[in-house]
Amino acid sequence: MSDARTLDVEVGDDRHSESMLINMGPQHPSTHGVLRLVLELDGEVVVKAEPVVGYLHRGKEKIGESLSWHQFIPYTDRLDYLAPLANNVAYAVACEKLMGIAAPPRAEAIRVICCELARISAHLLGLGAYAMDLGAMTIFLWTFREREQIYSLIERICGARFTTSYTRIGGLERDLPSDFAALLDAFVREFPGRVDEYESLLTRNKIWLRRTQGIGVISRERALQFGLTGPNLRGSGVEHDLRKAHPYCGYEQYEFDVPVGTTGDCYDRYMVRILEMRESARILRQALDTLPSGPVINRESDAVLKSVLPQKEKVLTNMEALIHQFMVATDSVNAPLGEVYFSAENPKGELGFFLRSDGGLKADRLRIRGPSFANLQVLGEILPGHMVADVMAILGSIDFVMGECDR
Amino acid sequence: MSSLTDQGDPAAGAALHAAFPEVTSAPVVWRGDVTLQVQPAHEAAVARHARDSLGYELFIDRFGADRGEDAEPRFDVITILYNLQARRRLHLCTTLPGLDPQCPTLVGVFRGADWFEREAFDMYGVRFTGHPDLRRILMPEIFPDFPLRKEYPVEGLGAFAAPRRAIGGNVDGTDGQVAIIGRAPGGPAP
Amino acid sequence: MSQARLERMDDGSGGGAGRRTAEIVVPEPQSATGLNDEGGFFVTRVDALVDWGRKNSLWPLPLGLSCCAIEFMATASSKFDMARFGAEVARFSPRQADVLIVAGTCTYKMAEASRRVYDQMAEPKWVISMGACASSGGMYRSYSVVQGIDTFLPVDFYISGCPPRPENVLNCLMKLQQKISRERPVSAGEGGTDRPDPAQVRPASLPPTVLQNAGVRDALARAAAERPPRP
Repeated sequence: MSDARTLDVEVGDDRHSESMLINMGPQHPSTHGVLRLVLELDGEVVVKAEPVVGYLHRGKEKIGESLSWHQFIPYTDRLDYLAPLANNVAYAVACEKLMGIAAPPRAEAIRVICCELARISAHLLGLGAYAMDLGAMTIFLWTFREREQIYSLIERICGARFTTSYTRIGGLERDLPSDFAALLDAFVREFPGRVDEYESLLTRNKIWLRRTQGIGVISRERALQFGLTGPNLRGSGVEHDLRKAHPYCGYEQYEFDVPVGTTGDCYDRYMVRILEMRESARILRQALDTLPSGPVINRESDAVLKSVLPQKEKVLTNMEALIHQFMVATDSVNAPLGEVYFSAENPKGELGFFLRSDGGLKADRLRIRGPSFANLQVLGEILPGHMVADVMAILGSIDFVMGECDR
Repeated sequence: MSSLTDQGDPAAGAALHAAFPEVTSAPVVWRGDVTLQVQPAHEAAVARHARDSLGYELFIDRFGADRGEDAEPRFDVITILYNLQARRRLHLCTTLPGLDPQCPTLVGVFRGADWFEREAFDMYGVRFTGHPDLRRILMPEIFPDFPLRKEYPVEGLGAFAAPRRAIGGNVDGTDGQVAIIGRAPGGPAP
Repeated sequence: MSQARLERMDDGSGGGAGRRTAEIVVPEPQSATGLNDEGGFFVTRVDALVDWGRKNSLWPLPLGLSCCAIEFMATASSKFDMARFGAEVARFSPRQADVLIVAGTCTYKMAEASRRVYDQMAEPKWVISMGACASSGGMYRSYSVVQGIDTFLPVDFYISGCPPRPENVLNCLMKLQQKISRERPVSAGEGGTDRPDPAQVRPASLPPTVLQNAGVRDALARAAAERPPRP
């Protein structure tokens, strides 16, 4: 050991101390995608933070103006790519609102199952990545175990693990396979126990509490000003859930609670998500038990009939059905003149679609209101005053996805 | 289905119109969504009234729309607000001219309008006067155009244009005539 | 036993700094087993040793841009387990990684950062383009998406799929391992990506944002300086 030396360190406030400009991202393990944060640091403390987004802007709104209503469905998968089924449902319901079509009850119940599976899947990954960023890698591997089970379920439903494109305007692409109910039942039985496992590692873990309590507090006023929605808004004490406020797909039939936080810190948002997962399991149980029978795509009236895809079996054998399928899938249908907005309670918040139609085959304006775009904006106001290590905690608790932020 | 078309409050729209009779239009209701046309110069005042007196305190969205190159006025800026107590939504729509569209900012009423207005500027070129930091947000700074305008092709222009490709075979952006197979609906024949 | 002396020179310019000579005792091959004929038995074994070490400890840098990153995470997780291949250590610092896996859509805005990450990686390095978006722009034929990262990065493998299944990613990893086992890092100085760098070969197709990258500009300037003057 060298001789101990006392270093004269100036700690006065009136001394000019240079602040450091640090760039976090767009390639960074904890930015959960391609977010860039330009941080001005005074030592360890963030003085100013500027999020830079747009690194994943793929031009979906422009693409939506050049594709027909049906052709846009695969693009909705890639919005919040942690919960593709939920995006599919939101877009399909928005188109149905525009065209005045209703999906049959069985389709609605299956859509609820899809949305809640997507919600669980998204929260699991959010939790896993969040914990991994703070050093608790185990949770990541555990949540991915459940996510793989959900992927297997989704694969049973529609063939793809996660870019599903499952909904169609007027219903769904296909019905559930016959063994699906048993598989989902097994999953739903086991899932609350798994959530208990995650909670046993985190909820009363001293390190976790120290790193998340009192960090990243978002006040109610700030949340409303910035348009925060979803668990971020509910963590700040605002009881607003679109599944309760404007029930879609038959959500009013199911009994579930909406967890609401009190202080608006990272811990509250974490607890809101954990409890939401439990509520989702509850909804899944009810949806599974009360699943109605019937068609999964609405073919009742002529007007509707022209708008929806014919039955696949007929398409493969009947010439008219084949032509019909071709026309609807490629050129799609004329939507009535007008504009609508529909938003669904997605795992990250309120995913809204504003569709303006000029009476044609394509959207005149297809606006996607991505919840993460609004959720990320608040970072500029809440990061200053925290330390760099808290930045990871706050980012993980906001739980955004760049796919729906940048579109 | 009924709750889909029950998300706006025509009475609140009428009350807002009554508070600002000259600068707003009567509320238009379609599929249950309530839309008020507002003159750009008074949009901030109308939004502030909606927020403070009518309870529309949750800011949802603010975006632009293009009615077409030949339309006049050409650009729309649509703002969506939400009332948590009444659980109702409200749309405010301002229309702007095609040449040098300008609109006062809403940042003073809802701080969250910041990025949304930057995106509208980025995509449409609508300038928001009074905005603290109006610059591109989604596109790189060197991008020269406003991509969501109707005349801008989806595949890009100039240096940002997607190269012409053949289906299968080699890809070379510098190759000459290559057939494009597979048209978008309503597009030109191959 | 005959002895051979191996000389290796870095370039023909004859500078003292460029020459390196190694004296290695090379025995006659014991049998015509089809082992590497050049360089003989021992160097082959050293090659094989280095290759074995490299291919079984490929540390990926997941450039997780969008949805494919989620499938990459699934590949790294317990069910598909990339750790079996030694590739579990995902290093997000380019200084510590071997293979850059571009997973997701690369936009023009992101291209400069991606190129910078690639430049900062040390040799030997390989690039895997995972998914349709990275390989060719995928379903996004739009004004903001680079239509294939091979316009500015030398790609060794393309994985198709939107997103590719984890089995697909593991298959590609195995193919990369096979490719690495064919390299001759010691005997012939070959190792790392053998694809030509688009910055030097096809500068005209570089995305405009990548031209802001200082490393790319230097490479272009060097290439321009070396080009023979036009008559």
